[in-house]
Amino acid sequence: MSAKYKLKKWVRSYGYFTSQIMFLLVAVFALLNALSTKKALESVEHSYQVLADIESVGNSFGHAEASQRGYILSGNSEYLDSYKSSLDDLKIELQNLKDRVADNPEQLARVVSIGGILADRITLLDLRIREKQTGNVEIDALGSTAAGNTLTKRLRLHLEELEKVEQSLLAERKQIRESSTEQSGFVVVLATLAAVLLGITSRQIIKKERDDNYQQAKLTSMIIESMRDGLVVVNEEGMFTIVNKAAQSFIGTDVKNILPKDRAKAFGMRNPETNELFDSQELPLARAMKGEHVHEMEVIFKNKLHPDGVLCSVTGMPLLNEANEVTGAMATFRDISKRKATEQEWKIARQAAIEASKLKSEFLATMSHEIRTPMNGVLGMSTLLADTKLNSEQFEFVNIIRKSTQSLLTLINGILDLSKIEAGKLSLDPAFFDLREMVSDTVELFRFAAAEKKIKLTMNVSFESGLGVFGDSDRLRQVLVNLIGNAIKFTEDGEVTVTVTNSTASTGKQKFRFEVKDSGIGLTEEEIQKLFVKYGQTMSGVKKGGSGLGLLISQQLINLMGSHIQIESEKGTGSTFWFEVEFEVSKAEYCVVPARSLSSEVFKGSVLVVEDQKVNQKVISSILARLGVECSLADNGQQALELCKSHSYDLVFMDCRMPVMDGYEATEKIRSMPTWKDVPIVALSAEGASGDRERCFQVGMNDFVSKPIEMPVLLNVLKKYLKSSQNQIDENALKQFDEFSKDDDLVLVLIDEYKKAYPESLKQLFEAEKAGNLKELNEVAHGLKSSSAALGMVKVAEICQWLEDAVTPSKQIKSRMQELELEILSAVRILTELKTRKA
Amino acid sequence: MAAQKILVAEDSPVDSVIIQRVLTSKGYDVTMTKNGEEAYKKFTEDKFDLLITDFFMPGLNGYELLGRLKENGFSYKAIVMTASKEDEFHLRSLNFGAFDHLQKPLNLHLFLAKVEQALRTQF
Repeated sequence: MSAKYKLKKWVRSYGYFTSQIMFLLVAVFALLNALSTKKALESVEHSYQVLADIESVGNSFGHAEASQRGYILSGNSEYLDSYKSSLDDLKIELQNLKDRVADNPEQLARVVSIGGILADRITLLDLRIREKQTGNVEIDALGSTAAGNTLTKRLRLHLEELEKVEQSLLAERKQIRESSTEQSGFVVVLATLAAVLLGITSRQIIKKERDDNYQQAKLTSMIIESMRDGLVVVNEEGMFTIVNKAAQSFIGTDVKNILPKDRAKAFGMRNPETNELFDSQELPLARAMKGEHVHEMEVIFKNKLHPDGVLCSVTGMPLLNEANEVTGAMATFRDISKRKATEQEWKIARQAAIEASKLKSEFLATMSHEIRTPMNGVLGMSTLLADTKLNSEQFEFVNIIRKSTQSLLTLINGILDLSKIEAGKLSLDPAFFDLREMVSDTVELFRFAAAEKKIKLTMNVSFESGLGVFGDSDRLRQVLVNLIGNAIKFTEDGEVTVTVTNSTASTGKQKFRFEVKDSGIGLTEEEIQKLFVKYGQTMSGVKKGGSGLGLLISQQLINLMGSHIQIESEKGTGSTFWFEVEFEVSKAEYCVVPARSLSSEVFKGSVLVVEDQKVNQKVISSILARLGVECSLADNGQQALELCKSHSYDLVFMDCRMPVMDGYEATEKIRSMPTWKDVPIVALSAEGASGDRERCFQVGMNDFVSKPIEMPVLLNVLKKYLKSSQNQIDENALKQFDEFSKDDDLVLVLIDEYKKAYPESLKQLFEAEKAGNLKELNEVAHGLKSSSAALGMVKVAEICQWLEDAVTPSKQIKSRMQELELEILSAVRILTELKTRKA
Repeated sequence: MAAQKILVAEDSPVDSVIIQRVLTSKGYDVTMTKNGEEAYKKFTEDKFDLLITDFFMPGLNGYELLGRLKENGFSYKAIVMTASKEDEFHLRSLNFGAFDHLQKPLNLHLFLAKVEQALRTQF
């Protein structure tokens, strides 16, 4: 608050009062001053009288002395009479003077001493007169004596002094009188002026305030009247004091005399839920009068003004004085019927949108499923076709079919995933798995693709194998595959680094940070914004091909894991995609072995395939036959049940949905037979939904494969449940290394060397093939064969031998090379597994 | 007695590690080279008791290495290794003046036995 404002406030509050006090003070002052002036005047007067007295004493004394001298000189008795009368005067005058100066001890002392001298002088004068009368006189011509003259001189001196002192007193008093009169006049004028000014100012301020208040009141009243919301105010008795126009439009104009208890009825205030009249006590104003704040209570006004009723939202609040006592209440009400109607429309529209979105998701899921079924045939048959005798052109065509089908399948899986995520149907399926192994396998998948683009692919994992984490390894792998795939796709030259580090989270779990860093084209801020938008793709993404679903799905999956993917990127220098996920960890045994292709692996055992569709029967039985597995077929659950009664199988593939008897029922029946308790039954389902999966496990199935069946998945199942007849690795070849192992395991050292070397060899192979340089191809294959054979990789060495022997160009060379790549990956993994298991 | 010195020419990193590890474990003084040219240079600079060479190497192959050494008047005791199965290679190795021939993948005991035998034998 500024000093000026404070002053103004003070003047406004106390100014008038102060001015009145000041007037009073001035009056008192003037009175006192007048009294003191009178006193001063009196003292001046007094001084004059003293002076006059002194003069008359002097005169009388002079007169007495002259009369005495006259008598002495002449002897005339007339002089004697005059002398006597002068002495009488002198006596009286001296007494007067004495009385006059009684208030001044100094002067009094002087008068007293003058009296003394005078008495002595008179005694001398009298003595002379008596001497005259007796005739015994000796006097000078002046009739005086020496002693008499001395006394007269002294008397005169004293009188002069007395006069002098009185004169100075008089001067002093005059001075005092004048100055006090001057000062007091000044003070009185000034104080009066100030008091008048103060009084006027305070009056003015108060008047201005009064005007302002009036304006304010007028403005407030205008505002209240122009409000679109109804406003009513009631006093302590609950009677209306303000009812604005808007309020009148709801409750009418003539309302001031309606008692509070009659209002519900008079205004037709009804409960919107029951459409009954409110009890008067329930009304907002009545409640506000009890000190309650009523917030947006919905009330219907149904009266003459609104025969159809109008829905209002009423807010009431008590009006309180400084002591917090209720002195009235106010209420506002607003017509909300339009808003309600809009809300209702919006609700319906929203419901419809949700419905539509759900239908869309369901449609997508159904379509994906419908498309997957025929694709099973395409994929399976083209796989089989590739293994028949084909000329090079035909072989190329088949390969294109397979590749196209594969990418279509990837796309459909993406759409299915996305629609499941949107429908909230995708859930994680956690189990313990070896995280390092999983990451390492995933990175290995890209080893060749990276080498082909001359990209250095590096993996840094801060922990060793054997750390089991509890999570959904398939979904995590899907994310990593997507991120690494993108990194390689968008990097032309440079490096891609996959880093996984762990730390202990506050929850006691382990926090893992996954980071895929590339030195590729990078992203602008705008592009990053678009990345996770559905079907959003950057221009570079469009150029490189792809659906744009991958990142979105990855993000959603990581969201499901309670985190999200983040991006740091700079256009032209590369990008880092990273996320942090928390997992429970265990050093104990974990059960999920990552799925991995082991093509050309040959198994032993007999398998029953229960499948109603002939095409699918054909596909699966052909693949199984190629893998050396004896295969029986059943068209439905009923047939399967019959077969199980008379035969024994090492493994059953069971379609879930079949005519006559479905897979679930058949499984339950099969499981009820005594010798069938432990035989593995694997579900075949085109749904791929986790709900199905749960049901499968409930009825006693061991595993779950979604259709169309993909080779790696099938092989993994076979590997899990059937015995292998042929080892991919010649373990005997490895035994001889044992004695040369020192602190380290020589085989592991060799595997490391092998891992470092083979991507380069593969790259050279593909380059030689592309260039049609068969001699070079033979040589590289020979070198790779040597290394592979040393590590007991029988199957790899066999393919290398085939390539080494190839002397005429053919399309098959390339497919053998692709097979070689897979074989190497799998052989390296098996070798590592063998060694770590031993350790 | 000072350790016997063996020069090895082998381009495959895996085989290199194996050979080096096996020979070193038996106390031989081993010098590893990655191709024919490098091996030739080392051989002409120093004195080795035995030369072990892979047949199939980029650039100068095993036979060419032996041929060049012979042409330039160096005498050697050599073992040639091939990953090929044909007996023809065996004979050709011997014709090139090799002491012996070994089939890859190496049987390590056989390999060590042949190395020892070669070093023992006096021409």
